[in-house]
This record gives sequence, C-alpha cells and structure tokens, in this order.
Amino acid sequence: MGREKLSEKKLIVMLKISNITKSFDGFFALDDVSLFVDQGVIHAVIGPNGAGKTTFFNIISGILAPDNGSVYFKGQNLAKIEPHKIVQLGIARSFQRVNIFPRKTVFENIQIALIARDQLHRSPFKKASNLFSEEVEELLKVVNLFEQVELRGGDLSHGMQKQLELAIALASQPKILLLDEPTAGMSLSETQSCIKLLKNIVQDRALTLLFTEHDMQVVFGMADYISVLHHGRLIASGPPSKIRENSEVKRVYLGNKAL
Amino acid sequence: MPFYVRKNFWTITALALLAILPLTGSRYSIDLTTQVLIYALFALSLNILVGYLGNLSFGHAAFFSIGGYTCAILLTTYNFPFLISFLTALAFSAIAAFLIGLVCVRRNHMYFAMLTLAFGMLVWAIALKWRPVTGGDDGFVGINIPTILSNPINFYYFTLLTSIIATYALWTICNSTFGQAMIAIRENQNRALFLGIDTQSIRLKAFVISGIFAGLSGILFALYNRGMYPESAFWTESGQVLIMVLLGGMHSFIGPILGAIALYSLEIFINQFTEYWQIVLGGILLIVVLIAPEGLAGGVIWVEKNFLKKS
Ligand SMILES: Nc1ncnc2c1ncn2[C@@H]1O[C@H](COP(=O)(O)OP(=O)(O)O)[C@@H](O)[C@H]1O
Ligand SMILES: [Mg+2]
Repeated sequence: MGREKLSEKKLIVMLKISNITKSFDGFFALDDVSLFVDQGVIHAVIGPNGAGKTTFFNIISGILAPDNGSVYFKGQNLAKIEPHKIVQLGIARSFQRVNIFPRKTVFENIQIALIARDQLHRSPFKKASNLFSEEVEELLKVVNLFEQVELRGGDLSHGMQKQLELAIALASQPKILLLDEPTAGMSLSETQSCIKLLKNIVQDRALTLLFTEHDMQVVFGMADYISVLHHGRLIASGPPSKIRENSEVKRVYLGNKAL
Repeated sequence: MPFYVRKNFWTITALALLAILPLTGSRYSIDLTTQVLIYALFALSLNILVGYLGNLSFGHAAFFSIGGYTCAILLTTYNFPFLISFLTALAFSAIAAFLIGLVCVRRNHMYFAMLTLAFGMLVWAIALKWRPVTGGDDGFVGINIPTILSNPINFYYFTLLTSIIATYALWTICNSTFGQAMIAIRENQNRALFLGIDTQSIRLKAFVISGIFAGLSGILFALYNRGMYPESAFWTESGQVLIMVLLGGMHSFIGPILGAIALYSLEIFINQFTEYWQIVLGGILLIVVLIAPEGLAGGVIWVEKNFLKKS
C-alpha cells in the first residue's frame, strides 16, 4: 500500500547506499550491500542475529567506516563526516541496547537533545534551567512519559527507557530516523503500543524511518518496504507482499513457515 | 524575607561574614581565610573536569603554577604593570591548557588521567630545572607586588573580590547549556555524540576553562606568598586539590569549596600536634571513598532532607 501511495508523489531518495562491504578480521559482516531509502517510507531491515543489521546502521551513522562502498544522504557523501555532524545533517538514531543518560532526569534527557539540536551546547553563559520546558513536555506526551518527567532515566522500566530514547532521537528533528530494534526486550503489549506510536509519529512528522526488528508480525504490519540481510548479504528487497513470497527469504530466514 | 534573600540565605550570610572578617582584627584568621579562598577557587576549577566533565586529572597543579610563575616573572623580572602581568598570566594558563588539552582529550578514563599526570610532571620539571627564569629549587622569591596589595587586609579583600567574581563565573558556566553538555558527556559520552554534540571540542573547552581558573588561583597564591616554588607544581599538589574536591563532593557545585575549607583547616590544626598529616589525609580519603562518596556536600543535603524539612 505504501508504494502505491508513494508513487503518486515523486520519489525522493533519502539514503543511497552503494556496495557497502565491511569485514572484521576477514569475517564479512556486510558484503556488497546496496539499497535506497526513499523519503517518507517506513523501511525495515530484517535478518537473523548476526546478519549485519547493527553494523549497517553503524556505518550509516558514521561509527564505522566501510571497507568499500558509499553512503549518500540527500546527495551528500557521508564518507569522512564525523558522527556528530551526521546527526546535525538530520540522521538521528537509537541503539539496540538502551542508550540514555541514566542519571539525568527524564526532563534533562530530552532537554539536552534539544540543546544539541539548536547548537546551544557551546554557550557557557546561556542559562539551562527551564529551557525548552514546553517542547520537552510536548515530546514526553508524544511518547507517553509525561508523568515520569521528574524521574531519573535509569529508574524507568526497560520499555519506558526505550520510549525515552525514541523521544531523544525525535527531539533532534531528524529527517530520517534510524531505530535499531526499537521493541527489543519489550513485552507483547508494550511492543504493540510502541508500534502504534511509531506509526503515528512517522505519519505526523512526515519522517522517513529505517528500522531493524526481529519480530515478523511487527515488520509486516508496519513496513512499506523490507530489505533482508543474511550473513551480510542483501538477499531480497521489496514491499512486504514480495518479501512474503520470496523463496530465498522463506528458506534462509523464515524457516519455511507461512507468513 | 524577600524571596531573593531566602533563596540565597546561606550565600548571603557567608559573604557578609567574609566581608566583616577583618573587623575581628585577627591577622591569623585573615591569613587563613585568604589561603582557604585561594584553594577553594583551585578546587572549584578542578571540579569542572572531575565533577562536571567526569575526567580525572592528576596534573591540575600545572596550570596553578603556570599562572603563578608567569605572573611572578612578569611582575618581577620584567617589571610589567600589575594588570598586564595578571592578564598575561591568565592568558598563559589558557594557552597551556589549550595545548595540553589538545593531547589529553584524545583519550578517556585512565589514559586521560595518566596524560594529565605526565604533563603535570613536565611542568614541575621545567619549574625545577629552568633555574635562570624560575629560580629552580630555591623558588622564585621576592615578587614585586603592588604596594597597595602588600597590606594583608587589602590583599584579603582583593582575594575575596576575585574569588567572588570567579566563583560566580564558574557557577554561571556550570549551570549553562554548556554545563549540561559537560554533564551529558560525563553520563554517557557516546549518547552525547549521537545528539550531535562535538564531544571532543566540549571537553577541550572545559579543559581550558578549568585551566584558566586554576591559573587564577595560582596567581593569587604567588602574590599572597610573594613567591612561587616548584612544590606547587608537584603531583602531590594535584593530589591534594583532588582530595579537596572528593572530600567536599564532586557532584555539587559548592562541594569543592567545603572540601577546601575542611581540608585546609584540618591540615593546619593537625600539624600542630603531629607531623603525620599524610596519615590523616589517607584516612580522610578512605572514609570519603568507602562511606561518603558524595562528600561533605552530600552530607549537607542529607541533613537538610532529614532534619530541616522545608515548611
Ligand atoms: N566491532 C566488531 N568486531 C568484530 N566483529 C563484529 C563487530 N561488530 C559486529 N561484528 C560481527 O559482525 C556480525 C554482524 O553483527 P551485527 O551487525 O551486530 O548483526 P545484527 O545486528 O544483525 O545481529 C556478527 O557476526 C558480529 O559478531
Ligand atoms: Mg543488532
């Protein structure tokens, strides 16, 4: 459905990833991976553990340099651009393992993201207290954490910490959001509400979303487009209906179970 | 009481007491307080690195002594006017902190700490061996200070005023958006980076700020003692100010001030009875680390919470 809807608009390529190869001590975590992420699309990257999904994200966000290949964001080559500058360009991410400021309050967790977005973190004379309080409030309402505003990040439940990290990523007003297993470790009900939330957010903000996920229900219920990694290779890429039918995907990843 | 006064009750009380201290006419308390003010500023400057940025430094005496020696040499050897010597000494501390910081902030944790220690030793060795300029192990004595500052009461007020301005500046910095960025780096450097914060440049900036204020306290120290000695650059000096920070509480702005007051007074007190100050110092450090990691400031907060419930 996403494709049809999108094809009415002119497709703009957000991310163009070409022939990415990355090896660790001779082991190929990514092997000649190429894909496009179109603007406004919810794009899932799936694959079993160790398929190379996180490595793929780490290359896009500048943590790792690829051995080969290139990443273009809206026509700009990201090679040699430092991670914090990549964020400033409009690529925000979350991490598979919760990555927040555990001893800052929920409020401060979001506030620092807003400070960074507006490049105010360099100003030694700009008073911080109460800065952005309205915007923080809004973001916390979006992820249902408003009640927890005064708690410390580390005192939240795991699911809430994931939500908090999502809000942190949203705070930087990215053009594309990279979420590495946004529902990892969540209970079933938490997962479902998180997915609903994500869908709404992406729609409301006209975001482009690139995410990895292990739960197939989630992926097929949500993605406009799916890319399948296996042993570092891209074995299939297309809309959910195509992926469902793809025999290689069925064989290597889905264990022939009907989807 | 007006709101402003109520909110800042302790600060205002402390400042009032400091302002009228010379009325007691006690030379001893004037001298002691001057020294405590100088160390409090030194400790506050270190806490930018240790408490706010989360980087342990074992070489902070380097900037203290660069400030002190530079001011001493310019005033005395070159007969520069006071203000120029003072400002140039600050600038030298800043430049030294920038250059040393460039190397140190490339590393984290242990390696950062070891680099600061190494640079601290280097500065100490220069102070000790560059005899024609620094006076070597005899120290640089007989600093040519302005006559107006040679009166202890005047010098006390000069130190008090300088400390107040510097403390206010540090307080502003710590409570700024930049201060929040430092705390973010302390709490999770990786996440800070992926908010779009250039963590290395924030760390370098913090290093320079910290170095400037350490230099300032070193200048006051040199003027007060009318001399500067290589011991002030030795790593034990860096260790002592670090203990002040830990004792006072590194996660509170005011902690290092409390630590400086407590440790300095205690040292003078203990030294009257025994030569084994180091044993006491070690004991204090043990207690802080094992029992009260938030230091005296943590204790104050605890008392306030449990006994002085706000109405
Ligand atoms: N920094 C690294 N050093 C060595 N091997 C790594 C490193 N990062 C990932 N790998 C390896 O690369 C493969 C892909 O890992 P990863 O990208 O985390 O997979 P996924 O996220 O799909 O589970 C795994 O076999 C992993 O062990
Ligand atoms: Mg992964």
